[in-house]
Amino acid sequence: MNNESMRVHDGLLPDAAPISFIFNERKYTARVGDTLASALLANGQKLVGRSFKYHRPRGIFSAGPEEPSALVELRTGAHREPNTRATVTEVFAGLEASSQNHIGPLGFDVMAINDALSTFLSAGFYYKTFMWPKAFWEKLYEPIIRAAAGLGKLSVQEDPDTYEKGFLHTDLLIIGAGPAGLSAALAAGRAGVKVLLVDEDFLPGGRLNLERFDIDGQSSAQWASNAMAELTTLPNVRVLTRTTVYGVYDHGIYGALERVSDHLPTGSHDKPRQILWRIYAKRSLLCSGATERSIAFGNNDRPGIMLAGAARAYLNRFGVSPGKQIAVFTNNDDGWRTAVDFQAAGVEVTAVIDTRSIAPPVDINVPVFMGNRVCDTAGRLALHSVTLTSGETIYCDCLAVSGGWSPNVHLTCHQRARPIWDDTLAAFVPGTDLPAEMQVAGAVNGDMDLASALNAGHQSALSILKNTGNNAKIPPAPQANAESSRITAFWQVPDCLGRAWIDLQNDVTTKDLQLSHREGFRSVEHAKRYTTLGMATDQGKTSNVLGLAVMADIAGQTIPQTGTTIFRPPYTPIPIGALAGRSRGKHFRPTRLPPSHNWASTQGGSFVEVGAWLRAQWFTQAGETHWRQSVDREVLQTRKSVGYCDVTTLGKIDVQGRDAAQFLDKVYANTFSTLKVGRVRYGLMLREDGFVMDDGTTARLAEHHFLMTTTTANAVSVFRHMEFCRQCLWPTLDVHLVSATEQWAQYAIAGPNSRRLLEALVDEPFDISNEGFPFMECATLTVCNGTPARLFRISFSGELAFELAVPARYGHALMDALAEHGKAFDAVPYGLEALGVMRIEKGHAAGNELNGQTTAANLGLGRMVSAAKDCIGKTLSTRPALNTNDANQLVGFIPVDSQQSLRAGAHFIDEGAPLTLASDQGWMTSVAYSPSLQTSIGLGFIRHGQERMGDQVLASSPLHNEQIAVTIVSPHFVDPQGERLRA
Amino acid sequence: MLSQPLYATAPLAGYRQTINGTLAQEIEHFSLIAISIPDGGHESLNAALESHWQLSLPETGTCIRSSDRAFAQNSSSLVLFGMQTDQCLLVSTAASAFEQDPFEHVQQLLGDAAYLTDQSDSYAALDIQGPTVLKAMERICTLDLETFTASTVARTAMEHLSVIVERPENDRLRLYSPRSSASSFLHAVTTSLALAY
Repeated sequence: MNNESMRVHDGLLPDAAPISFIFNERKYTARVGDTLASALLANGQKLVGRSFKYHRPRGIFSAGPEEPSALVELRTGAHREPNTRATVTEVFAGLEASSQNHIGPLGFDVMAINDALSTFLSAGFYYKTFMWPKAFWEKLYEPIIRAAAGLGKLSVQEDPDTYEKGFLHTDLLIIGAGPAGLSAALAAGRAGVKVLLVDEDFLPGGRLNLERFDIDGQSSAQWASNAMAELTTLPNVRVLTRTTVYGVYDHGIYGALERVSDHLPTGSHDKPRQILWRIYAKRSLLCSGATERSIAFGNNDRPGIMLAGAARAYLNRFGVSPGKQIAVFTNNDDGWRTAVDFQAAGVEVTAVIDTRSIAPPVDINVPVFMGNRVCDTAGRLALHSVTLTSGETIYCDCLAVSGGWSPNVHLTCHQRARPIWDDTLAAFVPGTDLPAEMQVAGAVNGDMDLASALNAGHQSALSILKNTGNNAKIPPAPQANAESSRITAFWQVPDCLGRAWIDLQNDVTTKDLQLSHREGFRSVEHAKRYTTLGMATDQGKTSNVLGLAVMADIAGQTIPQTGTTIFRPPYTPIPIGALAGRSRGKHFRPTRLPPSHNWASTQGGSFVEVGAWLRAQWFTQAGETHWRQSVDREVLQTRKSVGYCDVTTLGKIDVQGRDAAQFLDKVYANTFSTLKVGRVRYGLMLREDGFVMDDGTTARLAEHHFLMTTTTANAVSVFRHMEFCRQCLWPTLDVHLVSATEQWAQYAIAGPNSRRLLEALVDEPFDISNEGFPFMECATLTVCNGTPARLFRISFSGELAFELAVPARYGHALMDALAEHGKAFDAVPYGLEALGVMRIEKGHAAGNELNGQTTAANLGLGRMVSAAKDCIGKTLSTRPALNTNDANQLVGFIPVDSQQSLRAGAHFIDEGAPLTLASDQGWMTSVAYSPSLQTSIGLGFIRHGQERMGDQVLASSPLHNEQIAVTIVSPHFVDPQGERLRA
Repeated sequence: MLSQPLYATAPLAGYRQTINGTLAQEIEHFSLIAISIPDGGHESLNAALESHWQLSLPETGTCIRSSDRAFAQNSSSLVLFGMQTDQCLLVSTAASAFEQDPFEHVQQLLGDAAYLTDQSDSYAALDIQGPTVLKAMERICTLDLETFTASTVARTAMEHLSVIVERPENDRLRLYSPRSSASSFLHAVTTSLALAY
């Protein structure tokens, strides 16, 4: 059947265009404005899936986000999304949907055998049944159970859709565009309040679109449409449809998911699929309505059994009748309206069964059974008939059930507020401890009839206006009749023969709750986890209260005595893709590029991530097939002639002020107040606990002006530390910090010909000779015919070296100039790897040695902690435990067999000593192959290191089952006297 | 040997593109100078600013625009951003300001009244103007830019990047973000413009 034979009138879709879609590879027709559920029902497709555990046939149970049964897979290929609720899925032309959780055709699921074996598959059966052999659980039992039970399947492909995040600000967030929400939005919007109205449906109005009510003399649906039309003209009002507020967080922050293009065919648009909004709201008004619940009776899960309000929704909004013969089973007056509406639409109503022994609340010409109950149902793949406790059999293919309405209090609970039981409503209503600046109005607050809801929304808006001093005159609240919603609580039909479902999504029955009670899992939280009641995609929206009531019955308690339900975010499922937003692949985090990046890209540079930076690791030249060839060449050529390297990534901090020198004396272990203008000094910075925090050079550019460098890795943390010191520790000092890392492109030029290369760049009359510009000098000058620059005579490589800085805009050009003028010296660019090799050859400590667990004494720099002044970390650096006689000391290591390669992380032990912690004497921090020495070399910490030159120990790496004999040597492998760098 | 002068490279390579009706273009020529206020030097610095550019020190989060045409091309092209209690940024986007080195110029005028740090090369600057500006920024900016006026400035984070935002006109924003991450910054903004609706 695919001809919309069940569409009995136009509903709210009189002019909607016809479209076609596919369900289980079969083509169906629908109308624009249909949900997948309404479209399937219009085509008479009642069976839409199989249940979670027993693989029972399942149909459409609700008409909204609370749907527990009609879960389908949408789209195909990488776009496939499982566990999607057909009741909130908009149909579009070409939509492909399929049922899930069955083996074989939907109508003949092989796994339905589980239903026959249900006696053995009670709640928690797998905890009891699969106890042995123990190893089988992970290897056999669990995989089989997961394959058999589970819902839809992921595509297991990368998600091709685009997701966005966003941030919104509003004075009043109204959640829900039903009667209360629209009424409030009109009042606040007309008064000029900045309003954000959010509704999860694509057609705002809530129940106004589902019922045949009148408001101010027009149909409720028309009133809703007019209200929306007015709101969209107000510049201070913003409306987000297809958007679910899923969570309430601190400080008036709300999470919302907007489904921007889920309703559009793939490839037909350039919009993101979804946007995850963070909403900052000064105030909020929750108008989230209420959700209908069922009654527990035998076999109450067959396709064709649905909530009474949902049946009305399909009829009144979509013009679709879920059946040809409708029966109604209710415990309240609201359920009767289902019978009235269907009869008015010309659909046969075969019975109204009311659990209450009262006079029928409505005079209706159908068979009425007051004080009676449905105790069983029949029909293999769809409902055929129901049996009453009085013995009658009622033929019907749709049973509309109403067990009452539960206010959607979820968002009121997200900050741990507990709802309160209301006996009159037979439902929980919001408690008093609401999230800050939140109000509730409408059905969520127990205002169940239309007139009350409209008025409550209006009054809430007035109250907000009053509280904010807004005296605008606004029209009165819209008027409507107050329909009856009397209820007498009735939860389960006792002594049913068949199983009575409470939670359709998790296949939890009343028997499961009885079992849970018998086995001692009696608290709400225990029973939930034992039975899985209220879990999964619907989070128990239709089952929580019913389950709680049944638990209360079993325990012989009232519902408040038994417990309350409380909710956490999210209200409805949020795709992982939406949580990730754009943070995928290379956009997971920003990338920082040094000024020479583009230049390096054209010179064979291979790049490595160093924090957020992308740095050239080496530059491959023609004929080089292994990175070591490139690195060895770069090192040897630099030491032989000259090389240049981008060191821009080092942190640079401009320190200025009358007290700048004093400030640096306090943050550095050594003294800077004695540094002369135009000079540079190496500095060591300690943490409060006395361990080394960072190191670098600091230049004194003027009397009150210093430029500090930090390691690349610690640039931010050092700046933050210094700001803390400046603002909190010594606020009276006149000192100011500005990060200058980004401002300057800075290049190291190293090697015996570095001065000659620079001579070609620096402008006259600057004297770059050793006498005119000696080691550890700095200067402000111009290069290349007038470009402002800074020059530092410092060396990390151990060679005669300089660091030249120009404004970053000239960084690319300076590399070009270095390359051009360097040709005369066979100059080479060198990358991070060669930089590392040369610093190890020179014995300079870097990140591996400054790992936060080493002291100045460990590094051989203990004398730098000035005795003449105080500084951060000085006191605690004198702790006895940090100054023992056997403390680790930084030394060098070479393998006894020069063919062997050292390994960073290896631990030192004496030959013959057991591989135990007690034998551990230290560890290797950095290793490299030294092309200068033609052997592997390493730096590391070892006890008494300075006293053990020439000793042999084993560098042991148990992880690699490796032990290498090494000799302890000076850490200064190259030019230990420092003659080159002072040349 | 006399070396060729170095050429300048713009961090966004002179980007200019209209996306969804909104023009995004790099501000290639601008100067941005950090002015730190010496302890106790608030009044003398204010006097110097007033004397040279008819400016005064702005409150944090506000900006003040100069009417001095001797330095800047038009009245809105020289702006003081109040960034923190003892620091502000002097920003000029006027091409004429580059007839001489802006940093040297300001240094000469202010002398010891302030501590100056040139930041002109520290930032990539992007000017976006058009109907989707605010909608686009909703995707990456946590601030309520609707409340921004021509006198508002803020330093915030967008997609993990530090960004200074000003709104010189209702449908126009100027964004300044660190130079090294300029390509990530541009991607963040242009993606937002492309996906704004």
